[in-house]
Amino acid sequence: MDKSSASLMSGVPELMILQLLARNEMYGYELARTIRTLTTDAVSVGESVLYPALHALERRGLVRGRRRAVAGRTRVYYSITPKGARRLAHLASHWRRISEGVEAVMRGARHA
Amino acid sequence: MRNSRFRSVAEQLLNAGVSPRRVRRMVAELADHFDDLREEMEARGLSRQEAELEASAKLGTSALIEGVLARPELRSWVRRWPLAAFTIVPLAMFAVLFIGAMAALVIAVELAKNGFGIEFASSTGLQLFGHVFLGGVIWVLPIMAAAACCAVALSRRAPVVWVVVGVALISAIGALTNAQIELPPLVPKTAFGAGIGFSTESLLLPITRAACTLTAVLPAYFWFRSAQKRASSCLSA
Repeated sequence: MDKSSASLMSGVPELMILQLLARNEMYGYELARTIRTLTTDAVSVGESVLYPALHALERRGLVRGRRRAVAGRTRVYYSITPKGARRLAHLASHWRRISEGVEAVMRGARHA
Repeated sequence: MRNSRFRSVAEQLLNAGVSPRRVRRMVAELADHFDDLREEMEARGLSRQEAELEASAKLGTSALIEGVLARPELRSWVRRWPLAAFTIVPLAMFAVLFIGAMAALVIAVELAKNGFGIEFASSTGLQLFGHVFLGGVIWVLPIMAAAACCAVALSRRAPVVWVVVGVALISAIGALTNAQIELPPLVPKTAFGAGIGFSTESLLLPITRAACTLTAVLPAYFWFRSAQKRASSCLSA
């Protein structure tokens, strides 16, 4: 595994957050719940990971947060920026290469 | 206040160097998240008290603080670059204030002359105003700049050593500045002068001015800092 692949593994929350925000703007709880639901609880990005990651992504200009009042509550909705979309494309292509590589090994192991 | 549940978290994040604006937003988000989790638990049939306990456990604020601490980019620029924040920035701010104050005085004198026909050289009232204003620039401006430096340091929980360095620099530079009004017949027409420097023959005045700035600002800073520490330790207790 090269260096960028290693950092990709630790960047899985970043990849999932950017992917979800590329579809819709969301707030923190909504993101955590959606990840749990979509991965059928196989992956859980805990709140302790989610908020530092969101704020770090915002700091790097990859997502943008803005306050919006919905149903009597003011929430911070996050959306992806053009820079974030470029980063997502880069991370997604690396992720596909890794998952295909792992899958190839798994297939080979089954046939051996 | 619904965010009061997270006051201890806010204090720990501030102490870690996260900027107050980001801390306020993070705490508001956590409070919202907590309410959402509590409602989710209540919808599953838990009592309010059980739902709150469950939501608290799920939020895991100590893990969240660790997560923030692991990301240095979330720290405020004051904490990431203290050398610049407590040397270059306060000195630049003082210079801007000093030049701005002198420019404001010249504009006021020109306005009095062109708008109301009052000549500075012949108006004792205007001269009194000018001298009081320059006195303020010389004595009060360094105190204001040093106090602003302390206020930023307190809000960012900056290390005390940088604050002392910043205040000492402002006090020294502030003490070396001078500003004066020259009136006819000593000069052909009224002139305002300002500069920086000192004379070895009259060191007492700059030393007094520097001491004045230091004593006006540092005791208050240390008092507020100890009050802040007391409040912080009460929250974490």
